Parts: sequence; structure tokens; C-alpha cells
Amino acid sequence: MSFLKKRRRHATLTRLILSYLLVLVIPLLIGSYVYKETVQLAQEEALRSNQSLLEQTGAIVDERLNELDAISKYIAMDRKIISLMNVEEIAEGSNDYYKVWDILSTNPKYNLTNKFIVDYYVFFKDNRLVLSSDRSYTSPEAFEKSLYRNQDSGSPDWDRVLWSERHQSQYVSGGHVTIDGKSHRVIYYLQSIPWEYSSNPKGALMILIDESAIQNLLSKINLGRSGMIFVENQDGDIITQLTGDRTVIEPSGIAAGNLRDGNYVSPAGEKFIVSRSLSTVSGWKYVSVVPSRLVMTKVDYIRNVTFAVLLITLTLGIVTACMLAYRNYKPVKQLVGKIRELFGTDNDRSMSEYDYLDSRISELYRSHRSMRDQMLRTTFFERLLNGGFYDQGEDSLPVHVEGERFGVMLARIMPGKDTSDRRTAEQMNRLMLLVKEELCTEAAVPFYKDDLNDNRIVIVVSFGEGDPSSMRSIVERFEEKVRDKLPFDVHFSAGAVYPGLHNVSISFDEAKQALEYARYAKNGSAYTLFSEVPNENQKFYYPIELELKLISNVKSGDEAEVRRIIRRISEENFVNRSLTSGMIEQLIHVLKGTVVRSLGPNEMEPQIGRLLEKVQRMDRIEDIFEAILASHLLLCHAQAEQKNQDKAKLKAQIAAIVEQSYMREDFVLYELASQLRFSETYMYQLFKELMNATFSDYLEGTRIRRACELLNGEECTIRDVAKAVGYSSDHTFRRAFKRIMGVAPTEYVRATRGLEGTSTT
Amino acid sequence: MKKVVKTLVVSLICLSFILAGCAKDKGTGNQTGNPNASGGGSAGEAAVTEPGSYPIVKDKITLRVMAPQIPQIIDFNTNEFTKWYEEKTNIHIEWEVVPSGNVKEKLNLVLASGDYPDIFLGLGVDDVIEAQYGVGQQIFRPLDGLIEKHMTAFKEVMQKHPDMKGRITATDGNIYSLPSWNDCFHCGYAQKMWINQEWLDNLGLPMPTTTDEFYQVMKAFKEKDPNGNGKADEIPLAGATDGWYTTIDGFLMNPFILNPGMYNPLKMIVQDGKVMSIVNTPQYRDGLAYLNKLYAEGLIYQPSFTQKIDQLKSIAASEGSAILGAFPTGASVGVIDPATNQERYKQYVTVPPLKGPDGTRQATFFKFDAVQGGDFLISSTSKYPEAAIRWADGLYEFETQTRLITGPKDVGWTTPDPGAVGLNGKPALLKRLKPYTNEPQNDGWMHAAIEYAPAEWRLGEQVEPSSDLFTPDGLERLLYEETAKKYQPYTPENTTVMPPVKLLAEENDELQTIRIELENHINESTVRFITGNLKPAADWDSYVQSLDKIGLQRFVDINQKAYDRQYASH
Repeated sequence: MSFLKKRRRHATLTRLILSYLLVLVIPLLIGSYVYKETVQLAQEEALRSNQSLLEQTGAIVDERLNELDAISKYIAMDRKIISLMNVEEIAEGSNDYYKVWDILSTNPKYNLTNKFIVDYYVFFKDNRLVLSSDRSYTSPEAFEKSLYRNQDSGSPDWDRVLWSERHQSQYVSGGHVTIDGKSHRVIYYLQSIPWEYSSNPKGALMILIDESAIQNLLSKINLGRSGMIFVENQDGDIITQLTGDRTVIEPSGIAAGNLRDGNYVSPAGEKFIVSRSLSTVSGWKYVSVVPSRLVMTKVDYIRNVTFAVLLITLTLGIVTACMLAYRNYKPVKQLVGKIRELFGTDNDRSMSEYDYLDSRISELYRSHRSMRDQMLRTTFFERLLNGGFYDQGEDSLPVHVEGERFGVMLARIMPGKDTSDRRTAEQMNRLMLLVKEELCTEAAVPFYKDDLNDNRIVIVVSFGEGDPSSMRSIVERFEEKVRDKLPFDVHFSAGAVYPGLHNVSISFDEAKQALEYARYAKNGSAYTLFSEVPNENQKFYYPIELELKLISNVKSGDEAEVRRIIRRISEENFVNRSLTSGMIEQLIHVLKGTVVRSLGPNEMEPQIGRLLEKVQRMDRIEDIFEAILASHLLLCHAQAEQKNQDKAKLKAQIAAIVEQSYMREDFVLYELASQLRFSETYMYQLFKELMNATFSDYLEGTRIRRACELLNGEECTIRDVAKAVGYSSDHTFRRAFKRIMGVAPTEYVRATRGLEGTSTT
Repeated sequence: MKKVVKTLVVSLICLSFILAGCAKDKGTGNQTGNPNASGGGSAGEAAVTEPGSYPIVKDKITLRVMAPQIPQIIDFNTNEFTKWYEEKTNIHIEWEVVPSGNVKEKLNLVLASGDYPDIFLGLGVDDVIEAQYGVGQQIFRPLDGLIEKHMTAFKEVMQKHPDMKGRITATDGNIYSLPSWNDCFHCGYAQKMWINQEWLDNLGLPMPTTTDEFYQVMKAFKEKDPNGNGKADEIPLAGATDGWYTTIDGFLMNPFILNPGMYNPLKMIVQDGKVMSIVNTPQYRDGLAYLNKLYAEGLIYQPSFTQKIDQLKSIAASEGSAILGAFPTGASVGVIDPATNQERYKQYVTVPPLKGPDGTRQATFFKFDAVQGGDFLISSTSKYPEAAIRWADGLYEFETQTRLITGPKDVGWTTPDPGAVGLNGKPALLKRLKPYTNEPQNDGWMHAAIEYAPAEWRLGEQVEPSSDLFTPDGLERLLYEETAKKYQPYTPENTTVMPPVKLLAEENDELQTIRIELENHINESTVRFITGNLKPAADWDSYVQSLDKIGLQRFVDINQKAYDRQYASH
């Protein structure tokens, strides 16, 4: 099983190697084909050259034999010789003997001019003389005695051979003769005299052909140590044969042996190539029996070399394929390893690296999307609930919002006996799930938000135009649904319903107050509405939250909100309640304190002081509030001014940081946020606000602008430029460039250069 | 895809490297396979060591030598002396042997072919060829400078024999050939006749002393069954065409007129300072008539005119009883082998010169034969003339020469016993371990090369006075005694054989064709007269006339001039 896994894991590597090997197979196939063709061609060529060498040698021998024929004709037609043939007997003391001397003294010395001729002999039938080129023998017996004296085997019976039949250019396989003490191996050439046909030839010519001269010619054919070459005459007699020093085969064996396609296998198992050549001149048959490995030396050489080359190619190819495959596989493997490290070990290892990467990248993309949505939603809710939200049209909202009026509902898990965090978190999750489920099924879709600070969930409930359902009914319905399904206590509270999203914060505050109240109220109700919280008329309305809100709004310089808060305080205390003067005094005191608290380290202190002193002397509530409002507004203005200054400063700071860092490809929002000590979420928002663009758009813009400059400047490659402006790959760069500039960088370069070019001309 | 292309390219490059490697291997193989055969000319000159020192060359060289294939030598390549001398000189010889009977023809063919050996050895190149190819065409290289610079032994030889230099100097004053020097006493009277003493004894006949007595003896040999086997198988007289003075007419012409021998085809003699040819003299006619008488009666073996010494030897060595009565030759050892056939050998002794009808009784003394010119020539195309002349020089040294003729030391010869004396009675120089033989052997080169055998060398051979003359060991003494007793006393006073003369180039040119025609005509006519094809009475005059027509007189005149040039002043 583990083996299978391992193999699966290396599937990509294997696939890479296989693809390289597949390519390698093509030259190998071609090579094999060429190899086969070459070997066959070389083989045929070797056989042909072997054959033609034999034929050439035969032709040379034939030429000599042609000469021999001419010579024999010349001698056989010699007038003096024929004349002497008619002398039946040369008597003792007869002057006919002069004729013998005469023939000998004029006989051409063919043996000196023709290497093939050892000597020649003219036999006279009647007077029994035998004449050679330079001497005479009184009888054939004397001739035999002279030529064959050193031989045990004796001589052929020439007397019978010569006269028994007519000889016409006949070759007889020979033997050894000794002339002037020198031994020769000869082949006999026999010709009856006269040349013209005669039933009773009166003489005969015998030419002794030097067998070694023929063998010399034949020896030009390389026989190796075990080959042989032999020559047969018309009668099938072996005229001469030449063998190597280890030849064991016999000519008879070749004739009788199993011959197929010119191949002969000796009894000892050695292979031979047999070539034959038939001479038309002499009727000789030349047969060469050459060890096939000798003929095939060249073929074997070619075969070995080609084979070696193929083998080396294969080996090198495989090694190279493995190396390249591994090299290409390595980054993939590293990438997979890195991703695995990031995602932790996963149990599905069966898929290949590419599938794995694919799934991981889409996962990454998805999580990135949801994270962004989450972030936007979080920001939206924060602003919605904490105030500072202005309705700028629904399009810009990251969350789909419907309805005209909104109210906030809170759900809180009451801590039970088991208060471990895990348990609470678990409960929280279940509640969340339930809320999500339940609320999504409702016709009027509310919004929810989990707040990890407290074990509570914020639900913004929206009401359409003329929606008759009240907040209470919704809370009741919801409570009912949840109660049965959760084993633990959940307490609900709700604020009042106000029109517009910007009033959600008020409803939220109310819901919170209600929840706080519920904690102390002992009525055991599962939910509390803000309207149920008793309104203390005797006391002035100035909750701490409102004060903080005011301060924060003053500090953020939000004039409209400040006015609204002040107006609300004024409304709550003087319209909704009738306060005692003491209470009013207290309220004014507190309000003054708020002013002082809002003041902080501000150089406007004297102006504020004067305003506050004026308040002391005023009697009318409206005036006092006006003064307080004025002082707040003053502060607010100052703050706004300050804030604008800060904003400009921050803007410059952000711009500077981006300018410094855009060239690093790992420069991200988080880094900017941590440098400025903001949370990433806030930073995102802030950035958008300050720079009127998202961080990524701004960064991209900066990079491309810089890239344009670089491209306009000295000649850099696209890749270099991409690197210089912080893109990890030029591919990404090209895409970004195209997106921003509308053209590809190369076209851009061409266009700008072209412009330069035209401008210079 | 890019990677794949890369792989392909890499593998292709690998492939091409391998193939290139193969090709390179082949290339170098060819280069090394081609031996550096040429271009050794100057190297040969530089490599020759100091004159008289051995080896002659440091790095072995090969010389092509053309030499006669005499029957006595089995094979030059494996010959003991060849091997010994190669080791001594560091010069390898590539032999081109020519049949000894056809030396002149073969030599002419080779000289006309343009492809010459380095050395022409032991061929006896005659003055005519030397003048034509040396003086004329410069195919033979003049040796004077080389002799002066590189030879030591040969210079000593020349000092010892003052008349040698004149003999070997060509008409242009250069020396083209080095000679053999065979100062052989018995060879000076080589035109001998050997007769079967046993047959004479069997028939109770004395040794013939006149032409008539010789005729009677021959007739008796033919008719009276001297070998006693009851068959008429006797051959009274036989000769051969190519043995050492084995022609019939040599010895038998002397009773009529001095015969200068078979090696003098125009039969030139000098009588009282007058150069002449004997072939048109009446005495010569009478001689031929005498020979015809012998022939007509069947006393001369017919094939004598057409057979070779080989065949004569087989007649002499006939199985059973002897069938040969007499034969002409310089030494019977050339016809009968004493080692294997001593009985037969013993039967033959020399016939002393016969007295002719007019009382003439003389033996031809080959006074000028000691020097045999033309035995060593260097071709002008040879790349190693220095090495070649040094190689020749060594052959004139005593020990080398002894090995050359008689074989390895302690095999063919050795140092003489203490106190031993030679033929001439002086302290012996060497002791032969193997007697001279005419049978094939492979110990030395015998007479086939340069022979330097001065009288003191030949006569310095240790002899045992008590030993049998008719043994192989007694050969030298036998010949010495036969010659000294029977022939030397009949040396004519006023008549000598024609000494060799140097003809001028234009003289040679003029005589070139005349000589050949004369030779042919004389040869032919001689045979025809002897065999009766021509009759002395009827045909003599026309024969003489045709000789004149060819230009015999002119030939004689020019030779007279040359003779006068060379010898008249002495």
C-alpha cells in the first residue's frame, strides 16, 4: 500500500521521464532502421567485392592464359618443328641433326618473357625427340628421367597421355618437376601438333605453367588462415589450390557440401562464403572459399560501431531524460511541499501534484474571496453599529440591504455552570448556525454578526415599507424557534426600530441597554425590549456611551454627528423630560466636563475657557446649549483641521512607504498597517479613504507608472523591468501592464521608441 | 518541448563525437599503416659506418640483388653465407635470381625495363654491355669515387694485382664494375678432355697422343664393348652446350689451330701480335672436317650440340656400367660427383693435348681469365650506393671470401693443422672440411658472386700428400697435377688467346650488330660442318665469303686497333 502511495506520489516524475523517453525513441527507431539498412548494404557490398576480386584475379590469369594460347599456336605452327616431325628417325651421324640444333637456337625463350611459363617441350612422335626452349632430349624417357628424377612418385605416363588422344588447349593438373636443380610445381598445358585438326598428330606441345605464379595472383585474395581457393579445369580436376595454414576443408567437400546462397558450413562448423567465377577463355572455374568473418570484418565493424552508438545514445538519452525530468520536477515538488506545509498534511495523497496544486489554488482563491467579503462585512457592521455610517447608496454596500427601517436584536448566551471557553465557543457556533438557518428562512432577511467580545450575536432586522410586523413579534418568534433547539439559555434583547441605516447604531445602543437591564431585571423573561426599560424622568439623559460618542466625534471632527448628538441630548432632556434645575446644572456641568475632556492638549483652551465662562453666566437653556454646541463645534473644527492635517501627513507617509516598498514583491497591506500601527482591516479602510483607491490598485498603479518610466528610459528587458518594479513573474507584469495601460509592454516600448524614432527624423 | 530539443541536440552531439572519434581512429590507422618506404636516400649515405668496420649500417636496410641461379646453390635466401653476411653487415638482401643459362638475355631485359636492382652480382657483365649501359647510358654507376672513399679490402686487392685496374677500367676512364679474381692454375688450362682410363685398359689401348689415335680409340670404344656388358650402349664422346668447356670442338680443335674456347664465340687469338679469328682459317676447316669424321661415324653423341651439362651428368652417372668414353671439360668434378660416385669418378683422367696432322700439339692457356670483370655493378637508381660498395668491399676480405666459397667456419673449412702445408708447399692457409662439390649445397655462394681466390689462397689449401687423388678431398691436387704434368708443357709461345679489349663507344656501336651476326653465323656453320650439313670441300669458300660479307675483317681490324691501344705499348 505504501509502495502504491509512493508510486502515486512520483507519478509526475515518471510521466516526465516517460515523455522524454518517448522523444528518445524516435532517433533510436531511425537509428535502428539505418543500422539494418547499412549492415545489409555492407554485407552485399562485401560479398560483391569478394566476388569481383575473384573475377578480377581470374581475368588476370585468363589474360596470361590467352598469351599462352597464342604462344602455343605459334609453336605448334612453327615450320621448322613441323618439318622435323616428318623426319622419322635421325640416324647416327645424320646431318638431319642440324635441324634439331637449328630449332633450339632459334626457339624463342618464352620462359624469360612470360612469368607463367617455366618451360615448354615439343614432343616428336616418330623420332621420339623432346625439345625444350634450350635443350633436347633423345626420348620421352630421357625427358621424364631428367624432370622427375628427384621424385619417388615417378612421372605421369606421358607417352600414353600425349598420343592417346588429341589435345586442344588442355590444362592438366600438375606435379613437381626439377629443371636445372630447381624444383617447380607446374600445371601442364597440352596442345597437339599440328594445330590444325589431324586424326594422327605427329607431335605435341607441353607448356609447364608455373603454379606458384598463378597462386601468387590468387594469393591477392585474402583467405585468412582457414580459407581456400582452388581452380578446376573443364574436367573438374583441381588445377591448383591455395590454402591458409589452418585450412581443413577440401575442395571435394565444397562441391558435395551443403551450399546455400554461396554459404558453406564446414564439418567443423566454421562458416565460409563461396564465390565462383567461370573463365570463358580457359574454361577454368575459380572457386574461393573464404571464412565469412573475414569477408564480414568491415560489416562487423560497421555493425559494432553503429550498435555502440545506438547503445550510447540510449544510455545517454535515458540519463539525460532522467536528469531533465528531475530538474523540471523539482520546483513542482518544492511548490507542493511548501503548499503542504502551509495547508498541513492532508490525507488525500492519491492525486498527482498538478491536481493537488490545482485544487489548492482554487481553494486559496475561494478563501481569499470569502476573507475579503468577511472583512468588508465586518467593517460595514462596525461602522453601522458604532455610528459613522452614512447612507451613500446601496451599491457601495458590501452586504445586500433591503428595507426602510431597521432595528437591532441581540442574542446572548447565558453562562451556564460549565464556563469553559470551548464549550462557549461550541455553543456560539451552534447558535450562529441556528440563527443563520432560521433567519435565512424568514421572509424578511435580517443581518447578523457575531461578536466575540461577549457571548452575543447582533442581528440587524430590517423592515420593509409598511411592514406590519413589530420588533417584538420577530423577537418572540425567533426566541420560540431557538428555545427548543438549544440546550442552553439564550437571552434576547432588541432596540427600537428607526428609519435608515444610519440610525442602526441608536437601536444597537438601546438593545445593549436592554440586555444590560435584563441582566439585573429578575422577571425571568427570555427577552427584553428597550421600550420595556423603565425611563427615569428625574434623571438627566446623558449616558456614558453618548458622552464617549460625542468625544470621539469631536475628536474625529464630525460636525454633523456632534450637532446631532447635542441635539439629541437637548431633545432627550428638555423635550422628553422635565428636569429639575439641579439636574440641569449637573447636566451642564457634565457637559462642560465633556468639553474639557474633549479638549485634550489643545491650544484653543483660552477660547474654550471664555466660552465656558459665558455658559456660567447664561440663564437660558438654549443659550447654554448653543454655547456648549459652539464650544464643541469649535473643538470639532479645530479637531477637523488637525485631522485634515494628520490625514495629509498620513497620506504623505503612506505614499512615501509605498514609494519605498513597491519594488519588493512581498510588499502587502499588512506590512503597511503594521508600520503605521493600524489593524489591517482599519488600514484597508483608511487607505481607501485617504488615497481614493484600494491598496492593491494604488500599488499596481505605482508599479506600472514606474515601469513606464523604466521602459521609456534605457533599454531594459521586460523581465528586468518587471523585477525592478516588484513583480515576481514577467507574465503577471505583462497582464497588469495590459490592464492598466491597455497595451502590452512590448507594444508600449515599440510605440514609445517609434515615437522617439519619428521625432528624431 | 525546449528541453526535449535540448536533449536531442545533446545526444546528436554525442553521436557525432563518437563517429568523429571513429573516423579519426581510422585516419591515424591509415597513416601508421603506410610504411615510410621512400626517402631513405640521404639517410643511407649518413648511416654508413667507417670503412672496414661492421655493421655497415646502423639501421637495417634492404638491397635488391640480381644474381645467377647456379645449380650448386639451393636457395640464396636461406643460404648460410647470406645469413652470416646479413648479420655482419646489417644489410638484408632481396634476391632476384636469374637462370644461369639465360643470364645475358635476362640482363638485357632488365636493363631495358627501367626497373633495376641495386646490385648486379656475379653476372659476368661483359665489356660490351658495360660499355653500352655504363659508359653509354649511365645505368651503371661509376664506382671510382665510391672505391676511393669507402673501400679498403678491394684497394689492397688492386695493389696486389697491378694489372687489374687496367682490366676493369672502361674506355671513359671510369670503373663501372668490380671483378672476380680467380687465380686458378688449372683453370688456365681448362680446355681439357677426360677419357675413361678403365676402358683404355680394358681394351689394352694406350692413351691417345694424336688425332688419329684418338679417332681409333673412340672407334674402339664404340665397337669393342669396353664396358663389357655385351651391349652396344657405349657413347664414345659426348659434350654439352653450357658446361665449363664442355663443347666438343674445344679440345679437339687445338691439334689444328689454337682454340680460344667456348666463351670466345668469335674465336679470336693473337699470333705474333696480330689479332685474328680462327674461323676462316684452313686449319679450322681441317679441324671441322676431323670432327665431322668422328660425328659421321657416330662417335660423337648427337645431343652434345643441344643438351645441357645436366644431361651430360646423367649420362656419365648411368646406372650399372659406365657408358661414356670421353668428355671435354675443365674438371671432371663438374660431370661426375666424386662424393657420391667415386668409382665412376676414378675412371676418368685427362687426355694430354693431341698432335695434329701437321705436328701441332698445343694446350690453350687462358692467360687472362683470372680477372672476371662485371661481377659487381651498382645501378644508378640505387638509393644506397655507399652501403652497396661497402657490402662489396667486405667480400674481398679473406675470411669472408673463404666463407663465401666454402661455407661457415668449422663446417666448410677451419684453420689448418699446425705445420701443414698447401699445394704450393708453403704453410697452409686453411683446411677444407667439406670438399668442393658440384652438387647443390647451401653453405656458401661458390662461384655465384664475387670470387676472390688469388693463387696463394687456392694453393694454400692444406693437402695430405698421401691421400688419394680421386677423392673429393684430393680434387685440387688432382687438377693441379693433371694440369701441371699434361697441359702446361704444351703452352704455345707466340700464340695466345685474345685478351679482353676495351672498345670505344663508336667502335662498339659499329660492331654491335656485326658481332651478333658473326656469332650466329659461326655457331651455325660450325654445327653444320660438324654434322655434315655443310661439306668442307664444297661449302667452305662460300662460308668464308659470307663471313667477309658480314664484316669479319672489320671486326678483326677494330679489335686489332683496340689491342694495339691497350697492349702494344707493354
